[in-house]
Amino acid sequence: MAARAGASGAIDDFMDALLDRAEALAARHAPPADGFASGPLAFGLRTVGAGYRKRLTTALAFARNTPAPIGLRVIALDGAAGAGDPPGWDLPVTEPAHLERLHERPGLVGRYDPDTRTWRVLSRARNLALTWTADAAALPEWEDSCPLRDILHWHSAGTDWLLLHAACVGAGGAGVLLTGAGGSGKSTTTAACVLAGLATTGDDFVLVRPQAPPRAHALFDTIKLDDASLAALPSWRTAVANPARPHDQKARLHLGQARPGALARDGLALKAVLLPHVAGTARSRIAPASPAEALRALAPSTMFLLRGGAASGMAKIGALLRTLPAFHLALGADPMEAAAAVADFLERA
Amino acid sequence: MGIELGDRFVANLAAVAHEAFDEETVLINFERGTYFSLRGAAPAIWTLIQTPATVAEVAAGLAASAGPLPDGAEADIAAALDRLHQEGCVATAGPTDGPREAATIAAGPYAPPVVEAFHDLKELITIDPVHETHEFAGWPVRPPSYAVEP
Repeated sequence: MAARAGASGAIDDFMDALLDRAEALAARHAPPADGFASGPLAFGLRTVGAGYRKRLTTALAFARNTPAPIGLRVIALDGAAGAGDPPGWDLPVTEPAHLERLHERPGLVGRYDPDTRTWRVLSRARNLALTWTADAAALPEWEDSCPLRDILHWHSAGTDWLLLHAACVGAGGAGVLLTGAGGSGKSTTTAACVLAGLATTGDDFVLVRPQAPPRAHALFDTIKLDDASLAALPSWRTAVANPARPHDQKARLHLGQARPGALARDGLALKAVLLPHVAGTARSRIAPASPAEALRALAPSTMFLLRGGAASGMAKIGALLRTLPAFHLALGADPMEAAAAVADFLERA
Repeated sequence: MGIELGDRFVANLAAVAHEAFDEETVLINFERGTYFSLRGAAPAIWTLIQTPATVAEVAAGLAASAGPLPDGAEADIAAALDRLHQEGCVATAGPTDGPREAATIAAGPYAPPVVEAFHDLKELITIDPVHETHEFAGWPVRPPSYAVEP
């Protein structure tokens, strides 16, 4: 391939060369691809490093699909398991996004995390992505809850769906999004709803097709709960997958193992967006919200957590909120009472 | 005030995503980790600076739709633009090179512009320009080599 012009072209060339090198390493060292499919998303994952493979696939295991489907190819390399160290960001810095080590072009996105020495790159033209980390054992524990989320987010920019920072619960094939910043009660409400018999497509990031009729699919099978939520919902205690977690990390539940029937494998038809906040009252209350309020609850946290693709993401979220009614959900003190309020709302939606 | 009234202002779409609903426009500055609710005349002002415009041209554009503006409206418009400029949502496009015809928009009766800023999610942005530019030995920087080793 001819070298591309300018500093930006040099970064493009660098990322393409990383992908070439990853393909060569995977061909030599990786076992056959693991396949995954959920809703509109299908991809194959080849991993160098057994430990990294386990960390990447546990939250995705519910969507395992054999053989690997035709779609995005993802290569994961653990430097400590024989892939060698990835190069650092030794690149020209010519745009504000480069200060985040983020480089974005219509067909190519990449980001480097200097703390974990991890590259993540997606080429839409090649339908190929990589995540290459120096030592998978050194990655933060929370990454197991949402593996490959950057890559899958970038991949969505070229499709009619998107990843949203939201939870989703439902019954009878219909569901509602729960959206808000950390601490708004999304995860606790989701965990309580599952105990109450509702289905879910996730508590933190979900796949959504925004065009009418909007629909949500599961991407990860995890629910994360802090100690206070575990104390309020003690029946989840035996399902905690990381009992020896660091004190600042939340307990991680994998529904695919703990409650496989709770995952809405065919997705949920979305009926509304709920904006939870902890009110601590005796009873939960639901009241109308404006589309702009829903946008402020949903879009900033999605766009700040999932870097890149801002303009297309905003347009998709706007389209979704022109279709769905929005409501404030003032959460009462008892999560199971709040779950009953959500179930009642779903019955009437 | 940090802006010059003779300047033209333009939405900084390299850093800001926006979406308009009936009476509110939401801006998200994805470089700074901030977001904004624009109400009153502010959504119309935002529409009018999608192409560079002076305060007077923005006022003329509002008046073309809403009718004569009340006293103090130009000062309100300038203050809203100054706030958005300080927040990195609006760029200055340099001094005016002469008056331009006011853009036309559909807007209701004039109400003073409201720019409500939200900074509660800034910690989600990992950028640290001081630290980063120090590490990269200044801004911008071009290291001598960025080839991938075979």
